[in-house]
Amino acid sequence: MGTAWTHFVAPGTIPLEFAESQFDPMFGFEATGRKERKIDATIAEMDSFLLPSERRDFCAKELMEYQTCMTNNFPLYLKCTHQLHHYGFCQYDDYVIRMKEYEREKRLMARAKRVGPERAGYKVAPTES
Amino acid sequence: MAFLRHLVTRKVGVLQPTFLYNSARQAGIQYMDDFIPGPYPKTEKERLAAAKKYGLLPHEYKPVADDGWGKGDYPHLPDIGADSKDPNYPWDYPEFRINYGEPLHHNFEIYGEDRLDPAKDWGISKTDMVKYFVVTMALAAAIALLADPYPIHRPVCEKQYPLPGKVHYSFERP
Repeated sequence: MGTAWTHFVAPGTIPLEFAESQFDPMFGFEATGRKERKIDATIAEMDSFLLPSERRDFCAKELMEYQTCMTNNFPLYLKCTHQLHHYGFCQYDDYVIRMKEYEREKRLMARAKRVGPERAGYKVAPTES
Repeated sequence: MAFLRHLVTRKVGVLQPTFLYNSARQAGIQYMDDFIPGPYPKTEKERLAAAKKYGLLPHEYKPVADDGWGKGDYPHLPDIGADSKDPNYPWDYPEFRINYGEPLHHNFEIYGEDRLDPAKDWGISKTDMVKYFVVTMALAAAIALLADPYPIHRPVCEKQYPLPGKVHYSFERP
């Protein structure tokens, strides 16, 4: 069913859209570790392209390549179709990662209900020393 | 002047009924200066003189209340907006629905066709208007308040940005 119905009949079983994860990102990946997401572009580079803050995501590099191509090929933007598709696929993969994070959060919430909060893998608050 | 305006605003033609209607009214020429109000009429003689000045019959003439806003002896004409007037009558100025030489209401500028019309028949009473408004807004507010804890959203987490001091992970094998 839709999220509204699930929130209504079983509150607390699925995460909200923009809620921060309450679980340790490395929980369950202790054996292999996780690959960190990296971006090649620097902040100075994005500044020079005048990218607004909402475009400075993990696809900023592809976006800058597309904009460079458009500048070089003005007004023949059809020559930049490859870069445009590249940028679109990057955004698609980014969205898939977000969906996977949501699914992981949802399953860990169900697991936390099953095994109790001690073994749930919640984020450990940094201790003050 | 009125005839020139008549020529440019109406269809030209002697046999038009508009021409016959208007010909009787075009005997005297009036200027807006004629309608500059004088002092508030106190005696009956001043009252009759003021009514004659605005081209009204004595029983039609009722000055605007002397409340200190400087209307003087200007007549308080019926509070009818242009929207309530007859659209089929051959007005001299159809855009305002007024005739030449006709004294204007002292709130004439807000009684235009596109603005206020105090005499408009809305079909329902003021009480019903308030009732419907309150009921509609209350329903909308109730729906918004009751549905607030149960949002409809896409099953995705928040968008990830490569901000300094923030680490994000992909699901690929390292």
